[in-house]
Amino acid sequence: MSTENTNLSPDSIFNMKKNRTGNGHAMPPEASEMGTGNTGTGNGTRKQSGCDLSRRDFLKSMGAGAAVVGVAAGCSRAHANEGLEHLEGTNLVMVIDLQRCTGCGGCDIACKNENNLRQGHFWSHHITHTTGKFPNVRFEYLPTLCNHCENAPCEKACPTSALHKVHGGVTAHDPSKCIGCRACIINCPYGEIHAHFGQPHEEWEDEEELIAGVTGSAKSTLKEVGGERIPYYNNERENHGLGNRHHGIVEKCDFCLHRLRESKLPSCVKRCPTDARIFGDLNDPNSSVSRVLANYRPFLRMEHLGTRPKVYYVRSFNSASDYPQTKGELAENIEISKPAQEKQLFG
Amino acid sequence: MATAESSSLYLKRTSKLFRISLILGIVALVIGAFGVFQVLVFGNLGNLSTEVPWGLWVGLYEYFVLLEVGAVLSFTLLRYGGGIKELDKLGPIIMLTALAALVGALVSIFHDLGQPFRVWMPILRPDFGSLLTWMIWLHLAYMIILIIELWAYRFGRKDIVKKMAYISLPAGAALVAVLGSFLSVAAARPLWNDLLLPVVYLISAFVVGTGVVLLQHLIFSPVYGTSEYHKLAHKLGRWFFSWILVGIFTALTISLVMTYAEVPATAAILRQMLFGDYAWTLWVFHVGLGILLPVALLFWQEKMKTDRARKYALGGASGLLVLNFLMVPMNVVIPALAYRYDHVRDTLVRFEYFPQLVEWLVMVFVVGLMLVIFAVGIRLVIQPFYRIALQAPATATTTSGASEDDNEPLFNNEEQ
Repeated sequence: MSTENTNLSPDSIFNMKKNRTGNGHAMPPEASEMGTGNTGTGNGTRKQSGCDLSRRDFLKSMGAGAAVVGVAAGCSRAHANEGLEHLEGTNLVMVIDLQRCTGCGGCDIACKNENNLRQGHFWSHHITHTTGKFPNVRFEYLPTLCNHCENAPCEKACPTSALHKVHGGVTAHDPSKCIGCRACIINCPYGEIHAHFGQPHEEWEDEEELIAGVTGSAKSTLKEVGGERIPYYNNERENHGLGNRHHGIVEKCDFCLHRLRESKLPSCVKRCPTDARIFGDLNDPNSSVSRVLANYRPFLRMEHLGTRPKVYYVRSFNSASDYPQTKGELAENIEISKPAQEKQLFG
Repeated sequence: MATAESSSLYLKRTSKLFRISLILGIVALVIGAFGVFQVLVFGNLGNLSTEVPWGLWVGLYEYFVLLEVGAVLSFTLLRYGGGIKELDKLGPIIMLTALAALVGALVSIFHDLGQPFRVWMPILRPDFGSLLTWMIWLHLAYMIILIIELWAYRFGRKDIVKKMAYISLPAGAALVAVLGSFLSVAAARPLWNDLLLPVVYLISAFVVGTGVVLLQHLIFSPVYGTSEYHKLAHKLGRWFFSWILVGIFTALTISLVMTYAEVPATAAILRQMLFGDYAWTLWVFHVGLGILLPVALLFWQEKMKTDRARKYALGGASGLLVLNFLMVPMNVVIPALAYRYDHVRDTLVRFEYFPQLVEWLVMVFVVGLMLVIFAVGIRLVIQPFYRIALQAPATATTTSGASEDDNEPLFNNEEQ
């Protein structure tokens, strides 16, 4: 983390709450973050808790009769906040500074590695948009992720509370409750929820070589690296939710709840090389996010839908100093003024 | 009084229909079983994806919900609102059709779930903040109402039949309204995010429901071939035509408002629906075979001279509309997902979706299951009902405190 941004360190972000509740978790050493815990040999189908019901579990519980009630009770919402007590009363938000963002896509990669995402799934992604004609072209890069809306339509649509709010206002997903109806995908205006069809990372079973005789196949690469299901597996993800998602359920960004419960910043925030992503508690007036949002008017994605997103964008690409002061011109004068304008714009 | 000859003829005819339904149903079940096996064992969800998460099965589900609710609502409206007492004879067939459609709807949506064996969760651990939960619970309530009503028909309990008919009205209306609202509240889908959608669904239910009542009358009426039969068919044909006109008016109004307003997200999708690659599904099945041809047949039958010709025209019109009505929910569900308006790029993004073989096979299985349920229902309910109903009015079962009307037999066979 850069020195200019020391106020954004995980310690400082969570300190305030720790002091309030007195039960904050000790900050683990940095070495325990990605790296030492990532053996690349994790079991892709490991389940997080005993309340994750498979078909067999269901049949067993049917046979046991009352066991259904017991299992159901074990999966109650009270457990949703387990390990997140230190976030109680916080309002966690993310601010993305578009002037700082270089569009490197590091957040996307960090997220994929951190959460063991399969091919084609991005919990952190981006939208690019090019407008204009050369040489007057504008290129926009908008990093995107789940907005963890305060008025989350996905959560409202979920018939089993698989999508639910946890401390900090994070919209979390409980894979053991998900029936795979995909009503959340239908209702998410941002397209940030993914359906997981098929076995985890089944693309790595592919034996076809990308270039015959030149490159290896996905399967041979996997064999060479020694991974199970995927060449690289982050087993820290299992600390909250599943390490890998299984067939038939949906998946989405949860602000790296497995890291938040250890008082670590989300992976995309941690790995952003330009500190374009700022994360923290908006209820804390001294937090970095509060200070940034006090200085810059943010824009929110599809604000008109009333979802009240918790991902704020500040400082769009083009500042006013990028173009010369002008009152404009009539259409017939455009050709005349163009060379002069270009000179001013591009030196 | 019904003659022994006429009653034996009816029982013979229903036995024939029982055999046809059963054989066709079993064949369809066997063919479709391969698709069901693929879905339940291998989790094959066809061509569904994150981009187009709902497809044929959800469309099929909505179609069957419209059928099940529409048939009962239309029947109740015609019988108790319109005062068409002759429809009493048709009651159990309508309830049986509705029950078969309800099972079809639930089995269709069961296959659409990514984790179908967790389907008990919204029942045992419901979140009533979700409209989907309400839909499931209303379905269960509706199923109980239909089963009680069929049981009441089976044992000649007219008092219960009447009470259940009144209860089925708000329950059915609520089910269809929730179905429409579930899409209507999705602000993410501009094509659905319309205040009128629940009302449109209710009107659609009446359109297709009246078609079902007419069709079932033409096929299953115990007074088949009599003057009463043709008179009632003509009357139902007029009701059917009226509901089609209301449906056309509603669909046209909504389409024209959307087109006129030219809100980019809705107008762009609507243009694709009307003129895009899959526009033929709308024009050929939905509009051509599903509306225009039935309307033409309904006009035409008014000028026909023989009852037999009229019967075929009415049967053709109702059959065509009921079958092609499948395209109504399909054209509501699929385009709204296959086309997405990208507000950042200000452009329409298209996702490819056409049902795969496994999806069609499940559909065949569902239809087969419905036919088998229908066949079993003929044996267990329809034929016993008819036998009871043929008994003298004095022997009709009543309960204490029932009104005079309740003491009447389930239907009067004087005219036979």
